[in-house]
Formats: sequence, C-alpha cells, structure tokens
Amino acid sequence: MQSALQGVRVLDLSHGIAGPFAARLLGDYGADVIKVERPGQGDFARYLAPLKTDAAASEQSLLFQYLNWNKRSVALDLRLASSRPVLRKLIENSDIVIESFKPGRLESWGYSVDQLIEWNPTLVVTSVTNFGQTGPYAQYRASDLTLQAMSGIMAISGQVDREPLKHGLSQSFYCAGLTAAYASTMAYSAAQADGFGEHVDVSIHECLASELVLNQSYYGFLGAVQGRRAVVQDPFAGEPIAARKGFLAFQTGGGAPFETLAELFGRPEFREPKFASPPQREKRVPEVRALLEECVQDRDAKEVFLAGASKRILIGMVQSADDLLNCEHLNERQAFAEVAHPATNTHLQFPAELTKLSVTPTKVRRRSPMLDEHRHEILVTQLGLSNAELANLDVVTAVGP
Amino acid sequence: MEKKNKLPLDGVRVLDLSYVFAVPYMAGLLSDLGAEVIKIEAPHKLDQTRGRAFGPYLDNDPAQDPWNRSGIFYVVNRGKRSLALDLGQEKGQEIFRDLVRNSDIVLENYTPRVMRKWGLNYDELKKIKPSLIMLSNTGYGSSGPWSAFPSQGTTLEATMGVTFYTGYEGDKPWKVGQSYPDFIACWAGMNALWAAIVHMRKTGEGQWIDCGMYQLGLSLIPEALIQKQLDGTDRPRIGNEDLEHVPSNLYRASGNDQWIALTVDTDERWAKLAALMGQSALAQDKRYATASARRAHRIEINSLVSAWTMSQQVDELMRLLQSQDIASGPVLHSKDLFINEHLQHRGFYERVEHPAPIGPRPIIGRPYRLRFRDAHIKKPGPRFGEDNDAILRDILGMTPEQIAEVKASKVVCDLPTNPGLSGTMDTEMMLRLGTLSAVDKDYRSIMGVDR
Repeated sequence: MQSALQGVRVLDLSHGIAGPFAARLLGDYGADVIKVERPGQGDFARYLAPLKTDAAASEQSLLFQYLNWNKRSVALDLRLASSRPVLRKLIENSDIVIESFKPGRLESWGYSVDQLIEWNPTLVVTSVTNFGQTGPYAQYRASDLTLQAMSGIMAISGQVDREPLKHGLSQSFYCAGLTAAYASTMAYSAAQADGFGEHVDVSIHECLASELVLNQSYYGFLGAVQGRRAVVQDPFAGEPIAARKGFLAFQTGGGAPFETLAELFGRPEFREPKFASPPQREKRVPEVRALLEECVQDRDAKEVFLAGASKRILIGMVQSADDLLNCEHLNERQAFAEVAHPATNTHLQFPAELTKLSVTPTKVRRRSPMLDEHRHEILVTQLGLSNAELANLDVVTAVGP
Repeated sequence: MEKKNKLPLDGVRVLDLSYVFAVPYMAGLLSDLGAEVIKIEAPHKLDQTRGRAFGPYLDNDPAQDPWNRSGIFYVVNRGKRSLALDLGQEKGQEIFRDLVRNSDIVLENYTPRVMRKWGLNYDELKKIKPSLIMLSNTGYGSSGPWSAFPSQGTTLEATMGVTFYTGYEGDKPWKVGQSYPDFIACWAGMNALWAAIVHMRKTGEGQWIDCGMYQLGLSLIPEALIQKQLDGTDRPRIGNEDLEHVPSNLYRASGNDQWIALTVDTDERWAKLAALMGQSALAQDKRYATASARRAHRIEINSLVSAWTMSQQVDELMRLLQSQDIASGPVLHSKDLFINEHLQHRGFYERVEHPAPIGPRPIIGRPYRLRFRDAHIKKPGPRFGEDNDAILRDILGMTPEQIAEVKASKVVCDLPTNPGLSGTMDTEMMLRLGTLSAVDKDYRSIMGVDR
C-alpha cells in the first residue's frame, strides 16, 4: 500500500498534546517524523497520565505513546550553541517543522522563522500556541479549562442556574492538533507547488472559537446572546435522558418522520399535532420530556438505540470507554490498533484510524520512541555526523540540564 | 512581508453536495484557501442551515425568502457559488457528471445508499475523472453494522464517548457546546483531503475518503480509553476541575454571571496566587503547599479562591493572574468574542460585504494565519440557486435555450420547491428561560458594521 505523505520529512520540536498529535497525524499518513526532545527529561507529555508506574520515569506515560507513534526520537538541547549545526542539518533535511514554544522563544535561541526559511526556502514552519504569535494575549498562559472558557463554548454549556461547563478531558489540544496537522499538509502542498515556504501560526484558542458558527450567528444576525441550557431542556436537543441502563440522546429531523417515535415506543401520543409539530412541541417541553422519559425508563439504552436507529430515528446513546472498546461496529471498522511497547510491557488498543483513504490508508508503522532512542541512527547514519562532531555534542549534552 | 504567493487551491474546483455543518464548513475553508466551490443544493430539500431548525433569520424576520436570511448559512458557506440541481432526475445526474469532468474534488454527506442509488458513487465517478478526490462523510462510515444509521452531531457526541466524560461532579453525563463532532469531522476530513491532494499532485491518482464521524470521537478521549485498559477504572466526571492541578476551576467574579477560569499547575504558581490574594502564608501552609496536599483540599481551596475573585472584575483578574504567569481568562460570551481585543488584533473575524438586506458582517475566518499567502473569505455565502445560469453557461457551455429547458423540467430551480416551515425565534420566551441572556437592538454598531 502507498502512503500519501511518503517521503515527506517532518521535524517535531513540539511538546505536550497539540503539536505532537499534529506531527503524529502526519506520520500516520506516511511522513518520516523526527522528534527532537530536551535531553534528560524529554517532552513533558512523557509525564502525563495515565502512567504505567513500573517503567523508567521518562517512559511511563501511555498517553505519550498515543501521541508519538510513527516518530523517532533524538535528544538535543536547543539552547546550546553546540546544537546549532545539528539543528541546521535537521532543518535542511525537513519539509515541515512543528513547534509549540512560547512565541519568541525559538527566535531568542537564534532560530527565527526567517532564519529557518533562509536555511531551507521551501520549509513550512507550523507554530501551535495558546493564542497565536501576535496580539495582546500572545504571551498568556493557558490550560484546557481557560481555553474552553475564553473560546465562548462554556458560556453556552451547562445549566442556566449553575456554572458554565467545559467539555471533559483535554479537548482543546486535540482540536488544535487536528487543525495544525491539516494546515501543515496544506502549506506543504502549496510550498511544493510554488517553491515558497510558509509560517502557519495556529491559535488553539481560535480553533475552539471556530466551533461557534451557530452561536455567533445568533449575535451577528439578530443581536441575541445565547446563554446556557434551560433547567428543563427540550428532550430532542441532545440532553442525555436516563434509561433503565445508560442514557439516550435524541434529536429531531433526520430520515424518519417524528411520528416514527409512536411506532418505536408503542405510544400514539407522538402522532398528536401538539407533539409532532415542532412549533407546538416547543411550547410544551416539560410534557414532551416526561413522555419520553416514561418511554425509556424500563428499557436499556443500547436496545432502544439499535431499534430507533434502525427505524432511521436520530438517536444516540452515552457510551463509556468500555462500551467503545467492545463496540461491534468499531471492531468491524477496525478503528483500534494494538500497539505494544517494551518500555511499559503493554499492548493496548489505541484509536488508530480517523478516516479511511481508499488508496493511501493511514497506518501505525512504529511504536512511540523511547527518549533519544534513535540518536545514532539520526545523527550518524542519516545526517552523517563525524565521530568528533558527535563526541562534542555528547559531552555537552551529558553535562546539560 | 508581501503575500505574493499562490493560494494552495488556486485553479481547483470543488463540488459540495453536503448539508449542515461538518462538510459545508470544510468546503467553506477550501474556498478561503483558493478553491472555486460550487454548492449543489437539492431543490426539494433545503440545507437545514437555510431553514428554521438553525437560523437565526436576519433580525428574526423570515420575510419572503427565509432561505436567504439564515445567519449560520452565511458563516459556514462563505465563498461558495450555489447551483440548485435535482440529482434525483436523470438529467440532473447528467449535469452533475459533466461538472465532475470539470472539477477536482467532490464532497458529500448523504447516507451511504443515496449516491449509489443515483449512480454517483466514487467507483462510477472515477471512470469519468480518474484524478477525482471524493470525500463522503457519514455518521458511522460506509461499512459495518451501523453504517445505515442516521446521525447528527448532537447524537454522535453521546455515542462517540465525549459525553460520558463531561458533566458536573456527581451528575449525569452532559452535552456541551454545539455539534462538537461536526467540527472534529471537518478538521479530520481536511486532514484526509490534504493527504489525498498531495498524493494526487504527485501521482495523478485520485481516491475516495470514507469519513465516519462516530469513530473520530475515540481520538479525543485517549486518556479514558487507556485508563480503562490499564486498571479497569473510568475517568470521573469532575465538572471544570482537573484531576491533578488544584485549583483549576471557574470562580464567580463581580457582575452578573461573570466567571474567571484559572489553573495553578505548580507549587510556585500557588505561592504567587496566594500572594495575589494577600494571603502569602497559604504558600507555606501544609494543607496547600504541595500538589498532592492541594488535591486533598479542593473544597477549602475553591472557597478561598472564590472569596477573592467574587468582588473583582474578570478582566482585571485575568491581567493580575497573567502578570504572575498563571493561566487564566474569563468565560466569554458570543458578543464578547466579536469585540475581543485579541481576536480583533489577529483579524480572526473577517468583514464580509453581503448584498442587501444583510450588509456587512464579521464572519469567523480560520484559526491560523499564513505569513506568505493571502487566505481569506472571498465572497459572501450564496443565495439559493444564485449561480445557476452562470455555472451552466460558463462551465458546461449550455445555451440560454438549454438552460430554460432544464429549469422548465425543474432539474435546475431558482426557488426551493419545498421550503418547509419558517417562523420566528421566540426570543421573549428564551430570555425568560435564560437560554438567551440578552438581545441587543444595536448589535450592528456594537460589532462595528453599522457603516
């Protein structure tokens, strides 16, 4: 099988979740990704939970494994002058650089984007930072929580009489990783076509704010500021409804007429105009909600989901990790791949395929690297460093931080 | 630096058959990046974003042509042309095939059986255009036992796992935001498209992209999937808090419904926060000095911090906290975003001139800047069927007589044949319920587009 980005060389100078996830996605499409890490400690994501605590300190993070497969690792201290010739060689041998340092930091070490592009005129540099390279917030610190708060998403989430609510886990960084990855491929394609490099300045904050297409139109076309969700919500707006086992989520529209619910639940009420017509239904939300709750309270969510979806009703069910790991549909689609890792002695199922490309499918070709695992292979075999150059670098690295 | 270089999709033509958010947004972004995008709309089935379900209609007035007045449509479908074409008719399919011959990319999000029924699935289309790239976005993908199930973002958010890990502490699972999976699909689809474009430019070979939204959710919750396999436990729902860092939460600030978010991720920053709060002794207090001690005293710390934030303005709190290198920021509302100094400085919103009655509007651009290429919103979103004649004439070379003929047989339509319900949004009721917090009559001048 061919790979779409076969022959594309990516230098991953980033750390954490967003940048490394972007670089990994390029690796999944076949790019050769070299990850440059800080000597000693490595990427701070090497310490992010979940951890397998019986492994060496820098190799415990199973999340790191997810974010960094299809990469090779070399440790190099970018702050040291002795690293400069090596980094220059790496830059000259790359098509795309992904970095996530605080704006201005690379430049302070002598690696401005101008300098990098001077070394390699068709280079694409993708910077993934909280608020982008410019503007009054450029130097601001952020967390997943503060990014979600400032993006506008939390203002419309949660219950109106409670505090605003964020998406669980670390959504901001995955969103930004997806965007940074495609923007990198896009800029690479453009650079190959016209011979000019590019600097892609990704703002994680703006990635999230980009989701507010509906909410922003409420204001932009009507002056309406959307708030949080009503205490009693329209049961067809996705709020999870408790079944005997599990929760269901309903939405109106889709392939089936609303009356199909009457058939699904054996309840003729759903045929009555006061429920079936959206403008009328909206006037009696508590009543509709009570009816729907009654219909599902003695049934299991999955059973209702399968029956409803087979009738082309827009229906979802709340699924946990366990449900997903054992889902018949995901298994059939081969959405997970088993990736073994010797450092943690694990072989976990990881979500491996986002989309299916008919000619150039994505692939996990190699597990995530241990810190500095490919030092010799990258520096000597690939870049052709002499023994003297290598020794010089090793001495400095050994006494580094 | 002068932006003299070509846009990445200069000279590329995209046919966009899709509805609602995910794929239409993808196509809108491709237009920003230089592509000519033709939105092909079914005369008898309006894109829901043109309709009552989403809206809102301009100034809450559906008027005579509600399908041309829906706000969200213009955000997602910026830069496109519109052709209202009935693919259910043989002549419509023939016109579509002729367009495919003259295009590079086809995007669609019908359930898998529809394109097959029309004979317009990828295997058929690639016979007439071997370099064609086609993306099909569906809820569950083209294969597997659930592939025929209908879905939209809201139901998928639950099914894909995100909802289970979202919610107030001790409460049931919660849906958050608006159609989150649609945006994930948009960006994941863009990744696949650009990979396919690189491959096509190198080899001349096209391909088909099968995007199933359900499985995209897995990529967003690796922590939970790993944890379950590691020790059999589930990551708990903990509201806005963080499993490791305390404090990391929302705190009420001065004013109506004002909230500041902050995260303290090191002991040093805890000491800085304590100093800001005028309680430097807390930095040495054994109950709070270390990360693990703070985790054991969440409740006390939350009340200490909120006692401090309660009387202060969110903007002032953000400046204070950021001056000490502490991650922080307010919960911003839609209106705040339009007038936010940072987003304005970066040009996140682009001013787009729409024809009357809409006029100029700030429209969300892209979440990245290109330094050497001028990506931008090329033109406003199209009115229904706006480019019917121009497309048939200029791309397919049809004569005025031929165009009149396909219109007479309703293969191409200037008006929707089944526009469905329209109506106004009950803003009074929504204000009462709190699902709207304000309706600003002077919103145009607030956004700076009254001139």
